[in-house]
Amino acid sequence: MKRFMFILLSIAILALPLMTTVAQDRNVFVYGHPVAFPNLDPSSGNSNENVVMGNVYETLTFYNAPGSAEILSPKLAVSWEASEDSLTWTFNLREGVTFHDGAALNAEAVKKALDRTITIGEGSAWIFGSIASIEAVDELVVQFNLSYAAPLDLILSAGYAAWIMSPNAADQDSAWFNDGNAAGTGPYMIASNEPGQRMILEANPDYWGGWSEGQFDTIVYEIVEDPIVLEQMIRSGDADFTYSLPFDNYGPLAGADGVSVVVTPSFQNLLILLNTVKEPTSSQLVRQALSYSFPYADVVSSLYAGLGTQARGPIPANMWGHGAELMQFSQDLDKARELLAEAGYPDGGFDLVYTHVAADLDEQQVGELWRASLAEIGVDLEIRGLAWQAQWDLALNDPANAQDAFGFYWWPDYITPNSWLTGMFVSEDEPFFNLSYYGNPQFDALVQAAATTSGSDRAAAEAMYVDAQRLLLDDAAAIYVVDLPDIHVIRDDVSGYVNNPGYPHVVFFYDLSR
Amino acid sequence: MKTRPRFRIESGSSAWFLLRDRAALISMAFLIFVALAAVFAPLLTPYANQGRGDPDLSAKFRAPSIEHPFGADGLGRDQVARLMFGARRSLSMGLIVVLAAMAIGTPIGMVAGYLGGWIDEAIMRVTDIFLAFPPLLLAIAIAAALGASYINAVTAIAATWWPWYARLARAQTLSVRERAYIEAARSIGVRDRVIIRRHILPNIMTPIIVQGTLDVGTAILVAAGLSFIGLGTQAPFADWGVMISDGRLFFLSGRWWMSTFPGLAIFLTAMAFNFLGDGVRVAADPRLRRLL
Repeated sequence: MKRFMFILLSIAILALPLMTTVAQDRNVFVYGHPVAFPNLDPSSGNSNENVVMGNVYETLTFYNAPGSAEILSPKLAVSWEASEDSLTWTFNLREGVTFHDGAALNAEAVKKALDRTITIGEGSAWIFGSIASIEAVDELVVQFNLSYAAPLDLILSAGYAAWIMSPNAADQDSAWFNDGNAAGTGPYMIASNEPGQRMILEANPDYWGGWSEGQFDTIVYEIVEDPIVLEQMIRSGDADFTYSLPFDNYGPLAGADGVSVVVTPSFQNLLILLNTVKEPTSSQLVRQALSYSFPYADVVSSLYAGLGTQARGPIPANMWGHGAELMQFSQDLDKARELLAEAGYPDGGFDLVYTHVAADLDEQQVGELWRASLAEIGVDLEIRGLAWQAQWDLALNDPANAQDAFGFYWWPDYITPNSWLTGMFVSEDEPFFNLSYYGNPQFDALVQAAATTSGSDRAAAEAMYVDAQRLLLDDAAAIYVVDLPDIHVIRDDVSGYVNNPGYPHVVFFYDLSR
Repeated sequence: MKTRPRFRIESGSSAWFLLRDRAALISMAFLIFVALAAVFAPLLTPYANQGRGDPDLSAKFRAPSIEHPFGADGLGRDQVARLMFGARRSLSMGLIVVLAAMAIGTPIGMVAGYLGGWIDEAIMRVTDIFLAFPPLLLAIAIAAALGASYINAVTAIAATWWPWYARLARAQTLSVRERAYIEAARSIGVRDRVIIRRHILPNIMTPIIVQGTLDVGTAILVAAGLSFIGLGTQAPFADWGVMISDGRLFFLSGRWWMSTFPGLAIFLTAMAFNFLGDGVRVAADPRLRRLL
């Protein structure tokens, strides 16, 4: 019996390298991903699952990476046109496209998918606010009737909510999708899903784009929350791609064997939202003083290792609507003291609570640097690291007892300046992401007017967005910390990678090969 | 005429045995050194403000040097100063947890052991409930529910620790309460409360103190564990667990000093408390003294 076990064990050990070889025959790409995918419903998913959506589902139009000749390129729609008043949009769909479940892509399917998203009305569905009705004009022609002019071609390229799912899938509820089911038209299909652990995609053999040598057959998302493990994985080759490592580690990592660090501009920025309804930050003068107290230069050069740039208002520099001529706060403690005195706090003498996501060392250290500056003007900052949900709950429950300062990242649902301004600063009856609780009717009106104008007259809209930001800066509703770069780490033997900040951290595996 | 020293350790006493135990002695010296460094930290380091959390970006990630013997962290703070100020929290967490656990557990255990009956039964079942959970897990759950802070972490750990002392105190009380002097006290009408305080407590303290000394090291480790996962001391303040947690992110990129030194500090301190606890146990137990 013992001998039998020995032989069995020997065979198993000998077979191991063989098994690995078999695994290597399939071209596998491993994405070390720092966070789980909370909601796999393509209609309402509004978070990090976008990195999956972008490979399983497709949109009608595609937002090209900056530097491309055109802003948009065709995806499920091959061509489109708008009426002169931008109120009627017609999209011609690609022929011969099938969903993963075998259903054909046609105008009815597009209408059903988008109607589902609009009806559910969650997540980023607000981007379709201009759509009054969708009509299937012909088998492959779909027409959108808008209630106000909007850049619908751009909206339909969004990395959230604009995904087209099969008509059968559109009949399902969110639970069905979150069980790991999907039916898009994308080049990859979900093969298995262990929530919070791992997701595996397999190539869709019937993909309309076809396949060629060297492309990846299998994609594995390894969910690893610990950045040090992610760094280990990318260094050792256990992962082919990752992001979200500490900023200070990218320098040393760039010199490591077999690894490239890709730094490109992103549409993400970091703000500190100031509570505009609770004393003492309800005072505009106090908020201005706080804005002058912040150590912008130190944060940008040291904390972000010089890889980011100081923000100027909420809209980042590489987005249209950014106001290059707007004022920019810089640290001026004397000015801050003056403003505090004017507000009735001659020697400071109050405490503030700053909350950040507990695992985010960058946000924590932003607080630590700010705290040291605030101490010089007599203000004590308590830094509180919380789970994201706890931090958000604290802000939502009762603004009068919420944190005074909220470390907050923003990136757009679709590539429009409106996302920052509407998402964070337009008045809300019940707070959602307007966690400064900012309410300024003049600002609201300007943003609304800009949104309805942007489809027909972008220059006019841009001027309105800049004016709106001027109000925000004067009211100092937030501290605009840094416009962040996208920093991705990829193994050198993978070719074809281009970062597209329009789809944050999405790797379009179809474009890659090894 | 020469006068005899006023303080003398009698040969054969517990203290005499403790001082003959070299490991315990070195441990005690080390712990006194750490405690003094913690208490007098502001006087001992030129970087007291950095110990309290102020950054100095000009020294960011400075490797160990004469100026910064243990290097500097990501905000340029001197690691020696951080360790000394961190010792205040780490040591105090360990000590407070054990003292609180003793203060809660001992009286409860004595009452259970002395009174017996249904009170004993009820108290012991409650301790069973607490002891059924892995201690770190329960502490994490309580700390997470209370919110992350130094005080909540201490509270959480102490809340999981007292049942051990309740059990120990109960077992000791059971053996002591049958002694003749207790019988005598009871027969002349001394009240239960007085008997427990005057006659039982002093006679069961030795094993409890031994256990306490052995536990401080473990409590420091558990506290560091809570801080490591973000449930203990909050930035900008430091304890050793926080320092390891922050530093380990930069270990692969060559800044080994950030988590190595606080790691060593925890390791040596926990070990020292263990040696000292062993020494106290041996010194306090005549049957074990022969081993020395």
